Amino acid sequence: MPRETGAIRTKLAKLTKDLKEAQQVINSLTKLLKTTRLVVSATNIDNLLDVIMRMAEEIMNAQASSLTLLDEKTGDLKFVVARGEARRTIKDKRIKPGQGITGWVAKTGEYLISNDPYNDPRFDPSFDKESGFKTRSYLCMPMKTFEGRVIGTVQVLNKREGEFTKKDAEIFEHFCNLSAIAIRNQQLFTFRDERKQIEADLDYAHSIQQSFLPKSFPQLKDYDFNTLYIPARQVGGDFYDILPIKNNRIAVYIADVSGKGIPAALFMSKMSSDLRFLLEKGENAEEVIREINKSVSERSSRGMFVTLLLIIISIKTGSVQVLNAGHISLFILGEKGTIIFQISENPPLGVRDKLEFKTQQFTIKPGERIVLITDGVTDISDKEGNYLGIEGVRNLLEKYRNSPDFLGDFLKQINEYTRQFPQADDISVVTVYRSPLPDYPFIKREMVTFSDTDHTAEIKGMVEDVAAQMGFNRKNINLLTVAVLEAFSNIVKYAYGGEVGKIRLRVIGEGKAIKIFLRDYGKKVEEEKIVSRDLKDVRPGGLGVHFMREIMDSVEYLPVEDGNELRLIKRTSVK
Amino acid sequence: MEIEIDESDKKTLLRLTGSITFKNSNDLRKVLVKFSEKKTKKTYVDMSHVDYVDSSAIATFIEFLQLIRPYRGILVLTNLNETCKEIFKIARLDKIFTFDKEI
Repeated sequence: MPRETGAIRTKLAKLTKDLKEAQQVINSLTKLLKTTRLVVSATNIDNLLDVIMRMAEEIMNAQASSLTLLDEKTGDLKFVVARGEARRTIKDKRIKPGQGITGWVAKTGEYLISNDPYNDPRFDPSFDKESGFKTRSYLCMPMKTFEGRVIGTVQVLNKREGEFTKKDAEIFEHFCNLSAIAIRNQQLFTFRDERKQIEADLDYAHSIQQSFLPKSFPQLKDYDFNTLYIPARQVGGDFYDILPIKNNRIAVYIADVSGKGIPAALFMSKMSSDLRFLLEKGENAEEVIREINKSVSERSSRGMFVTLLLIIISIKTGSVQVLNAGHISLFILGEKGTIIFQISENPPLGVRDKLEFKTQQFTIKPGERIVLITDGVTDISDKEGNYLGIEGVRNLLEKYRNSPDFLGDFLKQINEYTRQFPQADDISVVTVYRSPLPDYPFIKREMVTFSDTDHTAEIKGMVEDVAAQMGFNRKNINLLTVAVLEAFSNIVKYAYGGEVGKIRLRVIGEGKAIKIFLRDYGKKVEEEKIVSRDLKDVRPGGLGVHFMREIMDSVEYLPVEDGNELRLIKRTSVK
Repeated sequence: MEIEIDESDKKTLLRLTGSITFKNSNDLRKVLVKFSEKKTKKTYVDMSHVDYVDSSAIATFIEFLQLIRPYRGILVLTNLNETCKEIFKIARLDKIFTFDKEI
């Protein structure tokens, strides 16, 4: 009996122990299940990590815990959460792969139990020293993804009762694998959220940008303005404007801000309204840009700067003032071809606050086109994948120079290129076209007459006829004949001196001007003697030349070998 | 150009017809010089039938003005058409001559 009783007792004791262990396992598994629920329902990464830590301590019955994540850029492990007395010392600390037990676990991907860490050569006591915490036992578990990649570690320290066991490790392994998946998912969620946020920001920046790009252009008889804007996926900083300003002029500019996103868009918005204000105020280009540069320099942050090309066109004359601040030069599409305007560059805006800016001058002739672009255009890749560059753009412009739908054809070509190699930056193009002179009748009449007979009626008739076809009014037609007859009488009186001589008359109506050529073969007129007399000096004589000069826009003797050729020009627009 | 002369005690009237140009202005000059020699007080020139004058015609009138100035004679040009008026204007002589609508 006593023997049996003893055996039973032993057995009972073992059963009790097994039961206790089983209960612990059940307990742990229950906690693990609870953890799963908590971990899965965590709303953000901080919340998740906190849950993992609390559950790790609870399941493992540990005094302290911490969690490291692998920094994929540096390969370091970073303590992102720590609980227990030493939490302040440990949080945000970094360790190299292989450093201490944690480093060893991350490196090998195997867990480690150390119930006597101070006698384990892999243990790094420096954390204890710094924090005053005494590590008695240590269980460190790698967190692995499905693919087996280590993304961090979880360590629990100082088991409250007894030592860490292999069974603990088995349960903890499940826990840590679960945590790894949850963390990974959260990171992906976060990444996706950030992307969403970035995309929302970009959409907003786009709408800001679109809001101040001009939607309509000044309507002018002799000029045609056009723009092309293709935003890049990643919003760039292109903007432009076309606005009528004082003294019958038009200001056109194109600009590119170095930054991106909402700050850049707001920056552009402010700058475009400043430009509008200053240009409309009628300041000259140099002053406007000096002011803008000053305010851009004051506001710009993190190396933000602006390149800008400004042109101011005098509508009547076609005279153009150009100011280039670090931007791509402009193109002039003229009768003979497309040229890149040789431009003297100023630095971009926002680099230094006190700068003077130089301008240049040229004329846009009727039928010519000015093209302003941003570097999004030169950065387009052609079929072979080579950047167009400024020469490439010039060639493309030249190709479509005489196209009736210039910008449309240019756009078609760009689209073809960017389908193959997507654009990297905003593409902006602004064109200014000066209409050619309207088609006019080209009239040419000629006659030969003599200085002796009364041919004035014939001469008068021919001049009147051409002038009427040119659209001169009655009064101007009469004045024209006065001038021509004065020229005729001068030839009769002076060149031929009363003798009979031949006079050739040509009347040409061309464009907006009538040109009258009177050719004689008599005595050469001494030009310096032909002076309009002072009108205050009231006396007869010398009036003829005065009449001609007064009536015509130009009175000129052309160089001929014998005799004289007088050219008289008058434009249809009133002098 | 045709010249018609109507003389009375009070005034001398000249009716001109056609164009006055360098070809015929000397004829007019001869008539006017004679008037100045007779010291005509008031000379009226009816221009209503003159369609055209050139610089020599104007020069002739200027010369006449200079001849009558010493004895304070008067020259009045009447009924100029628009073209003729414009020509006087170009010569900036529209302030120097006396124009009138009617005689």
